[in-house]
Amino acid sequence: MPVDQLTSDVPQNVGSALEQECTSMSLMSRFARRSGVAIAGVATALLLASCGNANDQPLTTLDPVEGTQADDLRNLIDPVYAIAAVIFVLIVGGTLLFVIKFRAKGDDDRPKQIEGNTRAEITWTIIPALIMLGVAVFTVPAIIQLDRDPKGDELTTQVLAQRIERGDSIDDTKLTVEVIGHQWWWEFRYNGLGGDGITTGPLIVANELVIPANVETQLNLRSADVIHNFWIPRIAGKVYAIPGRENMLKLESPETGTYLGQCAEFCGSSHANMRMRVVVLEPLAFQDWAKRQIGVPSRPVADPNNPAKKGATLFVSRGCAGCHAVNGFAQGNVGPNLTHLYDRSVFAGAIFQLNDENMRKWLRNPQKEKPGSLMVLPQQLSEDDITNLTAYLKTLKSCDTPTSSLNGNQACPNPSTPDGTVAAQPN
Amino acid sequence: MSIITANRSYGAADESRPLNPSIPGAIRRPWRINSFLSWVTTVDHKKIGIMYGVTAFMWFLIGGAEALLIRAQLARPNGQVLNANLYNQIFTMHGTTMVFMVVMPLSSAFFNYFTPLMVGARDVAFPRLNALSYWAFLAGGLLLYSSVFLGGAPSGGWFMYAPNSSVTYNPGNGIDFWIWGLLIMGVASTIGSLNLIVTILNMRAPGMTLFKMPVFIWMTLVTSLLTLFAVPVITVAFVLLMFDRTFGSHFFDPAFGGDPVLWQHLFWLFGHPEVYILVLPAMGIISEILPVFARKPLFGYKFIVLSGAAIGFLGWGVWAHHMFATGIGPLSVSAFSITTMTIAVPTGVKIFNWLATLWQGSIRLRVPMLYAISFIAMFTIGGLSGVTHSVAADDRQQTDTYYVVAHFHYVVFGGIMFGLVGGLYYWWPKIFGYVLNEKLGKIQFCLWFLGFNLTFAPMHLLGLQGMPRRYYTYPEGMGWEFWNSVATTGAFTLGTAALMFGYVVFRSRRQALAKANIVVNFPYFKVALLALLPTLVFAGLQLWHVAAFTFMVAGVIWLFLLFEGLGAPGLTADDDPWDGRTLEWTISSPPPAENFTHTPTVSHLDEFWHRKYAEDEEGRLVLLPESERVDYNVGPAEHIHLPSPSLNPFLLAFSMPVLGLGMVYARTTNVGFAVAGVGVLLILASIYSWILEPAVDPTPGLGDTEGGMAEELVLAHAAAATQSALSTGASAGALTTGSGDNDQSGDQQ
Repeated sequence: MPVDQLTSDVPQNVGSALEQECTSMSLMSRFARRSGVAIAGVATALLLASCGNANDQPLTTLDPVEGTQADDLRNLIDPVYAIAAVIFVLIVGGTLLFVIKFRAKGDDDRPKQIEGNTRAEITWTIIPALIMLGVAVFTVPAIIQLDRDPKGDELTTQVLAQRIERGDSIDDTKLTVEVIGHQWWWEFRYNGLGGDGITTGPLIVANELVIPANVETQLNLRSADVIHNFWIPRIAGKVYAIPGRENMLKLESPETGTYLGQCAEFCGSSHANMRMRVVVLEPLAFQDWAKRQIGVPSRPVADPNNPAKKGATLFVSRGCAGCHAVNGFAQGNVGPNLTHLYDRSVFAGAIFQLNDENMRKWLRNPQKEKPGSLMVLPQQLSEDDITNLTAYLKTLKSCDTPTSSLNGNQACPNPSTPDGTVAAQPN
Repeated sequence: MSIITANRSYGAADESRPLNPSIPGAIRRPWRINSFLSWVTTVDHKKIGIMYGVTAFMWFLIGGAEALLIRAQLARPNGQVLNANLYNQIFTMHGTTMVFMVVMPLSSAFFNYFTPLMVGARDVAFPRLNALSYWAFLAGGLLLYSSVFLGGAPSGGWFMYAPNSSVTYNPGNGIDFWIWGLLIMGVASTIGSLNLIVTILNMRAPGMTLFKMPVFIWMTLVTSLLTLFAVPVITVAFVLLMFDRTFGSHFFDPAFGGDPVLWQHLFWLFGHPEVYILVLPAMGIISEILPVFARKPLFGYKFIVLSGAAIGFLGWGVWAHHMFATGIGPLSVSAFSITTMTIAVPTGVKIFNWLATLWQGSIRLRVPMLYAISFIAMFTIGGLSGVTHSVAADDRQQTDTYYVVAHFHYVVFGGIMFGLVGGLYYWWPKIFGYVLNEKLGKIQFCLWFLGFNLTFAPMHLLGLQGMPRRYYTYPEGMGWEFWNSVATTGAFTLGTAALMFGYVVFRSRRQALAKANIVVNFPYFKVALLALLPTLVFAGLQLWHVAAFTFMVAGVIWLFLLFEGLGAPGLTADDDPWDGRTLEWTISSPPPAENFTHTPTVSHLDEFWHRKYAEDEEGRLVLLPESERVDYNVGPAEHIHLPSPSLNPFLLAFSMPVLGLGMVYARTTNVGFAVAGVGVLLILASIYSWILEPAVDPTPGLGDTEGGMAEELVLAHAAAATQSALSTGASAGALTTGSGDNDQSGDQQ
């Protein structure tokens, strides 16, 4: 299954302690129901808090990153949960109480025939209305807040360089990223951070969105096929990516780190295999990352025995280049841009940790790992082909001194040639 | 009452028309076909009610089996029970089945059986249309499920969002079967609701004003009105989708200026009223059960009725709360957030009124009451989580997660299914002539309650822990393992409880038969097992598609076995086993074919209760001595006219899937169009045959002599023939029942 080793950076075990905690908490809340209404709200809050722990549940909404939209939403909904818990206790407690208290004593009980009480009925019409009014008063501003356009200067390569040079904060800027949902992977285009197109390429990555900390990032969500739904639970609520439309989702996190996400709208056979992650970096690290992404990876040495060179040839002859782009080498635009594939930690809709074993598994039979995958291999790859292709793919990463150009005349020192000779172009 | 009076005068006017007693009809009228086949031609609302109920329960078992497959797959991370494609088909069919083929028709079963009984009528307004509506429901369902062995079930989810539903992304025929199956079931719902509306508005017993109608009848009325207006919306959506798929139009295709969001609006503009279509009948049922078992009138009858109507009305203004993450803009989101919150108010009113009904009552915790009380608690949970959704900003965290799955199962299962099953226990003696075993019923209830909560309560947490819906698999390390395994355990408990209901019925029936010394000769179980044999053989040969087909055939055979076998000739229960309040308890259990030998006259809400009890000065009940009770059933039987059986509804209904099947294949082959053409001709032919057939056969001496009709009834048919002939020429606008009494000869559709 394509789900192994998904999260090396996420603890694997679900703490059984947590399970017990959840169970005991629900027992506690049952107890609280008996002891009093006020405790119910607290108990619910505690239950939810104890059952949401990002260490064990990387996708939980109950442990949002502080200072994010998800955090605001949590603060908005928590009182509603508390109110709901109180109402629940009142109604269920009332039902149980009445059932016990007014159990029939015998077959010929003659209860008083009460047909109604207008005053009581009007009261319990007005009270829910008032509660809902109270909830609405807090809800509407929150709704408006969600869709308010981010302010500030667009974080372009120049702005980023200037700010960092001057030692200024970039907190007041905003970053715009085009997000395109595909069956079943995510594409991220940083239009403001792309290269000049001559010596450096566009900044396009897949499945792993990298954003600077404390910068409001505006995701313009689109879809290339069906409706998808972009969701990083610990940072922000979800918004649909709809073909023919553009939706906006804001991401901002003061805390650096890696946050998992997943497609939340049913989008076909591999809906469950469409994940993504957001990596939040400090401004300097973000600048470094962005610079690397627009460079061109080194070319494999044109040695007939160099597996990477053979892999590069296969990349074209086996049709990979028809779908995948590698800046300066291949222009396919159907699948993910692979220019700096090995800079990422995950691939194939973020269902795999990027390593040799997973890559081999994937190349053997993509449809097995991800049912319905559109990565249809024209022919089955031999184990040798896979070795060579993997060797080539591993060269697709940024170098420390990005001085490359798109036409391939210059590239960074080839790791397989220690003397640093310029790699020849394949084909 | 003015409506009835007005119609009576129409009827009177018709009597001046000339007679034509020898209208032949296009096909021979199916008189005197015994037992099993009589179900094909019946137009008796009670039989049709039973057919609806049995069929819905059969689909419930199938939809439930699908649910168990889903839960088995999700019990552990990286489940291997189903593959992605199969999983997607199964969750699509689970949703579609449960909404359209279980809850709606199970409600229809109660509507059909009890609307005439509770308003004091002898049948529904249009008995043959009633039969058509059942058969169309069955035909549509069979067409939809035939996709299973004709290339695969639909896999786009019951919500079938565009553009995933387009040919590009779903090239198989599954979605086409889905469209046509549901279109045909839409015909059934529309006809059914029209029929009920006319019945309720026109055929109430003398004295039963609108505010003397039982709450269940009120909810039937509101539900029928909702259905009547909601089904056209989804029909439009289906037709647009059908055009996109079959004829290459682009309503939902953004590449050509179409808009996938249009589908969402159409779907939910139907889909949300649909939620109230599902829930209001169950609310009606528990509003009947609670007062009976609390021995107190329903608290605030008018508030309950009006809040039900308010829910029905407000339900039209909340559809976009299914689309808070779609990107409809903050203004729309705020508006729909607020309208959604307003629904909480009438819902709250109902809950408080039910509670107040219990207050100071004399509560008898019989099985129907246990279900009704659980409805209050479970529905409250579903309602409260619904309120958390209405906080639209936070709904962006909740939507498309298991939190939503938990929410709507607390509404649809914890609320509606509890209400409906409670209704089954409550009305079972009236329908089949024996009370369901109390002890077994309580065990069944406990299992059901436990299984339900174990299944769906953990889903709240799973959703909040970030588990999205419609995932065929999930990896380890997400922290979802524990609650998923709990949910699966619960689901299998619930499955056991559902099967146990069958056992409760089986045991109760056997006890009742033994007690009444009735011997049933027909080998029901042998036939049932024999029917399954081909399926087992083909499944053994791994010919899955053939096995699926033979299973469907077996299912239809089982339907008929159950229609016939749930009751038994001669099996009778007390007229009034629960000390009931409404008119259906005034007549025998099961009721005679004509329901009321004497048309009841109504002077109170809870008419029957007031015939049995009076109140003292303190408002306490006083049982009226037999001598002081008014006997409404004196004198000779009023002339009883019952509609005659007809094969035409069946023929018309089963012509529709021919058209559907043809249109499914028309996308890929022209033969499909030819088949569709045949379907259209068959439809026209059956309509023609229907028109030529008088509602009541003019031949003297013939009649629906099954169901214990008295001899005068047969004679009455001759009289009815005159009526029928009279009104054959009447205009379609005259929804009249012919003459002043409560006869049913005016089946002029």
